[in-house]
Amino acid sequence: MNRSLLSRILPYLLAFYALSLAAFFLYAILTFSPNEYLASLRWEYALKRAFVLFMDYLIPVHAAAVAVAASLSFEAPRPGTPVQPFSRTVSSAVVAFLVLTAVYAALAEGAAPRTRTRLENMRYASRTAIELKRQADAAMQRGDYRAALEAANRYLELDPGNRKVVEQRLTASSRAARQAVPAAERIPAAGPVANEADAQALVERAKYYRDQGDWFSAHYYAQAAVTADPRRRDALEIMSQASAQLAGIPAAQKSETDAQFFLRKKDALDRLERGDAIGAYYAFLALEEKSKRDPDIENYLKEASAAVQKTAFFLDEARKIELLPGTQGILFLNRNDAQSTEAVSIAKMVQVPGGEDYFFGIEAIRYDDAGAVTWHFTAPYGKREGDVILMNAVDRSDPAVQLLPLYRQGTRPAPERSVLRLQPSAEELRVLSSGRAALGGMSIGEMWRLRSRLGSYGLGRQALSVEMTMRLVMPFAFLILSILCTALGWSLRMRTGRLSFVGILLLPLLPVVLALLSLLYLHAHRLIVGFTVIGFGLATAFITLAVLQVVLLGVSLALLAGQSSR
Amino acid sequence: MKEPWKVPFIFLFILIFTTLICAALDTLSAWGLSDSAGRGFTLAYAMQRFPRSLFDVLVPSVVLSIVLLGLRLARRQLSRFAAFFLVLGIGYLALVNGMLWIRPLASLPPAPEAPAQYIAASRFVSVGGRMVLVRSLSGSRARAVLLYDPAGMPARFSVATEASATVRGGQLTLTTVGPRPVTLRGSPDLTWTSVFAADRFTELLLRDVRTMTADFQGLLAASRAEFFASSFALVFLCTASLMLLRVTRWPLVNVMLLGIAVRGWFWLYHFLAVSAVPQLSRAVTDSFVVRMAPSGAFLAIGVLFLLVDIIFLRGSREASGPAA
Repeated sequence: MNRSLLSRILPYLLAFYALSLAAFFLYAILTFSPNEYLASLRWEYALKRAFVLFMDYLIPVHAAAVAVAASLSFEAPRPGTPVQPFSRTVSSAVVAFLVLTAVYAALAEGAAPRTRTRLENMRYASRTAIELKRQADAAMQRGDYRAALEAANRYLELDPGNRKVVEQRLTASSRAARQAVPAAERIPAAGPVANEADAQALVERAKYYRDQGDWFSAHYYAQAAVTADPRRRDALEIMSQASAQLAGIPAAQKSETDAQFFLRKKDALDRLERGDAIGAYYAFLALEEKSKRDPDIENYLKEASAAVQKTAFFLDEARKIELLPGTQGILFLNRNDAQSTEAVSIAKMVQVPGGEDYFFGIEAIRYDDAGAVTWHFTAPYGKREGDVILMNAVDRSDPAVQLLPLYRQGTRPAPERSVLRLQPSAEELRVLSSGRAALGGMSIGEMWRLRSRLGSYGLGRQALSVEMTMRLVMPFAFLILSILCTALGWSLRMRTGRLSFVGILLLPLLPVVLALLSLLYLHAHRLIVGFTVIGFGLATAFITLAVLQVVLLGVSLALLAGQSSR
Repeated sequence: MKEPWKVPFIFLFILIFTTLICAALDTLSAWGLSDSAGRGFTLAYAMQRFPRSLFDVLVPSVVLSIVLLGLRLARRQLSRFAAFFLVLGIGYLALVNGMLWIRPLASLPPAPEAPAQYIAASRFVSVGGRMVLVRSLSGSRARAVLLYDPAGMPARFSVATEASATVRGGQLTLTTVGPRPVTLRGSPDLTWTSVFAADRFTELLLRDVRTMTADFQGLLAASRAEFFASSFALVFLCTASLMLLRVTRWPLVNVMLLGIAVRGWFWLYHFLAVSAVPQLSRAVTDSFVVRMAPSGAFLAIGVLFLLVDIIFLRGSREASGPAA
């Protein structure tokens, strides 16, 4: 009995970790639902779900491994040989538990919240894609190929590898092109999805349309073929031929004189200087279509476009981003003082990696102390600019299309009518969504920063405080249960004979029982934490928990020290 | 002092220890889940609530104490039959007398109900899937009431100048005043009660424990004879289950088997009482037989375990090695 306990525990720990990860992976694969997640996400889902489950149940798995290892580690001392004190045998294991606790805390606070967030995003993206696929199928059936093409394009942004939808998109695009040849220039450019298409088939389609004299479709398929296989010289030739034919069309339609052109340019510049960014943008856009080589127009268009995005945003961007996963069901008080209350509801918020935040289904209301509504509006789209939401959505090319907030009751001064100043930061908005799922994706630091301001948004902060305190307790639970299970396993060690077949068969019972016990242990902690947070505040909860952990650690160490080497 | 004489005192020590811890946790849980909305946690509240919690946790505490005592006895050189009768006798006396003595102290006056328990000014409260926020509340009259319906079309928000709020049996009813009054009715989902909610595995265990405890409390109030018989069946089964501590040569696995078995008995009782007994009542007309069916099943399984112990198991697995 002179080998350290650590050398015996370590193989068991690794085996239990590996087996549990494999079991959770298998479980994730078997419970994978194609109605919830895209089939292409199956393996990523399984890996991430397995990791999240592993982290959720790591404490019982670890406790079972430690108990089994300690229980099977006993070696009867040989007659005449001195017996090493148990404290020396177990000391390295206690140090190892400290290291593992640090690793557990790092994983629980670092990788696990990010993985949970990613899983949530995957589920949202999958649901959106499934809905788009349904829309595309329905549109194809009723012969609305343009709608089918749009839905398929949106779908492929979320699931680019889906061959069936790529083919459906090709069919829809060719039929849509034949349905509306004059509008052919609006056919979306071949995207990355073309990579998946068969270049030969695309070239053949391009040739077919060239022979028909349909130069828009011929150009489209030739370009798709080149994207799929850049070595296709025949496709390049068709593209060049089609470009030359298409270039001839506008040239024949030129009718404006240079003087008229100059006046229109001046008018557009005046608009820009007056601050009518949207009017200037459309004016320069119209001029650019007439003269694409004018460097002045190109520069002013860029300037106007930048100015537009300070007070408005482009509708196509918002619609594209609407498909991305985001935070849903946000509700909060934006302002609450003696005179009035302002409440805001946002159906969905999407935070784009570049730092832009888009909002969908915005609704805000302000009412006074007597309950009289000052104003109440709904807006379909919004974009964050600093601490305000811009709600003026404009079309990139059609001045007639503009989405503004709809005032259902009252109104506001004209400059404020399509903006809403927000009190919460983007980070805080994530927590203001309904449900505790949002907390699972947050670290303790994020929770701490948000806690102090939650009350002013009309939400109780107890749940956040308890969740935060429980997160702090988890590493202590890991360490204390490690020590307790070592003591338990050692006190219930097998002293004689080998592990029987029945023993091996019953081995899976151990994690089950220890999982139930560790969940009870954590539930008892949750009751104490919840009680102290609600009854006496967070500071008292921290002190109580600290004292409790010290006592439990002392008891567990005393139990371990009380074991004998014999 | 010889071991058999020590056993009752050790059992009482374990029982008092486990009962106090479980009752304290039950008091915290009860306050958090239902009473925290209406009153603060004071010494007076704790003193009032604690006997009720003792009454509610006594059955699982006795079961847990039998298991812990069994762990100790498995390490002692004591005849298994002597140990069996000792544990059975002490466990039975503790359960029956404990329930009889604590019951008169456990009556709890119903908590006063008022809307202010659930509605705080400028705080969102979820009622029946919708959210409510009031600017002020005086008695049952709420002013400047904001209603939020997540599925509302075309608008999710609406504001009423005034609303009346009443609470009955934990159900909040809020009716707005105006030409088109809106009524919200439901159990308010206080944000903090979710922090006391157990994970699903623990919740299942607590559910099973609650079913058994409620049945035993009901039997105690309805029929002493049936209560004595059911108590005996439960203690008998738990004591007979201690034979699992000698099933294999590996003590850890034996303890885990016992743990699974005890968890299983709670589940079995819930299953029999909630699912099987209603089915049985359609076939059997005698209500006594129906009521005692779960206890009869417990007794039968206990006898089976006892027979297995007598016929197949050796006296002690621990005899081959020194006690730790």
